[in-house]
Amino acid sequence: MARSAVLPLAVSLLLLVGLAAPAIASGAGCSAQSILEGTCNVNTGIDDDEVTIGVDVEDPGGPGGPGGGGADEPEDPCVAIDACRDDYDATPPVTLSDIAHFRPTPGVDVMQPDGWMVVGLHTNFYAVSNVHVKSGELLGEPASVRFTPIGYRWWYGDGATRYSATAGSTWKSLGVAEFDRTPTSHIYRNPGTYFIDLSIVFRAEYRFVGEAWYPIQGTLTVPANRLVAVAGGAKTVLVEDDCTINPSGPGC
Amino acid sequence: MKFRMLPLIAAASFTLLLAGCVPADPVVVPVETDAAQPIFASDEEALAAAVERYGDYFAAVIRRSNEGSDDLRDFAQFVTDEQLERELATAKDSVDRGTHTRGTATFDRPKLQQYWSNGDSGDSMIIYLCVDVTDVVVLDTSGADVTPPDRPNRAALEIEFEVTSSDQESIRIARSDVWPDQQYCL
Repeated sequence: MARSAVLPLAVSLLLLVGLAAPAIASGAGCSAQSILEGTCNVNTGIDDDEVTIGVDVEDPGGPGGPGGGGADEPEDPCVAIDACRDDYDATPPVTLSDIAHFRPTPGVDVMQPDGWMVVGLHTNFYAVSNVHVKSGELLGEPASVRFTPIGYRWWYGDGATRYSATAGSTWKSLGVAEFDRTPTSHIYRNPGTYFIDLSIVFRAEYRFVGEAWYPIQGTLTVPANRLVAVAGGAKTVLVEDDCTINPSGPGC
Repeated sequence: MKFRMLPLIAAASFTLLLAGCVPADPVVVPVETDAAQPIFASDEEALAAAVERYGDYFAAVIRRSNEGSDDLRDFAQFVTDEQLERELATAKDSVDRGTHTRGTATFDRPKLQQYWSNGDSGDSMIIYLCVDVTDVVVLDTSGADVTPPDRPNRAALEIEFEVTSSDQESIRIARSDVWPDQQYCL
């Protein structure tokens, strides 16, 4: 595990020697002012007045990027269904306690590097969780409940926490280098062992057989797996074991 | 101990060159010090504080824009130094063009994207919101309407804040960008 990470780490460190730490490119940005005047190009995110030579103008968003999916507001259940006609009896809304036996699948917390971090460098965390449906009996009738992850809360184990509408992703799929900042990365400042916890916030909807999906008020927060990882200075993590004992350890 | 990159890089490189048969340094388990607590007790509080602060900033933006001045003294309290420079450049450009605005703009649909603690240096927050300029016209010095025909009435922005204390005045806008998901505001 650590062996394959050593070379990229070395390359990253050697690159850092030669380069000043790059700022996250955000082009010239668009303030409220530029929206008022119509000088902000909402397709490129560039205030046309402010393009200057040498500024990286190819990054339309900030590091936040597009968040988790779209509008948070619950759908109006009366948009497409019969139950809102005057001649139909209203039924009390289904609540979270009604679906208590439909449990969402907990997500999975993944970290890069896996199980270790370098003090002072970004450690990447991301959650794996998808929309999923559970079927069963609801109020005595066959029904399905659909869970959609909408938020991710990390406790990094060093006192810092993060709430994010983005699950995050691997460095590779984000197109950045190892140890680069991501929207869900964290820097540990001291060596030691850390316990990292993740909880995922889900929205729920229900559907009786043959009917439409209706939203349920509120959200469910479900803990994911706990991670345990060790942070060391670069020297410590590169040479973890005496090489005579573990010749395939990092740095050997 | 303060983390310094260069000596560690040198150490790391040297270690690699050694084809390291060096005994491991003991891994130190940190003594629990006072962990930095997030400034706001909940995400809802954080978002509410940011929205209130942005509201005050927004009012100052409209006032300045309608006056057509480049005096940003009212602004400085709402933004970081870096952001102030960007806002100043935008303001100077409209003065150079001889334009100012008239009318009231509003913002809505604030949504929290991220809220996190940076330890001792404070917290950061990113939110989305929609700026609505439907009732705003852009005028030149003679009072003619020069509103760009392709100016969208509503735009989605991503705003990053830095917060250093529970004092409302410590909340500062650090960055303002278009959010690529413009559909959010339509």
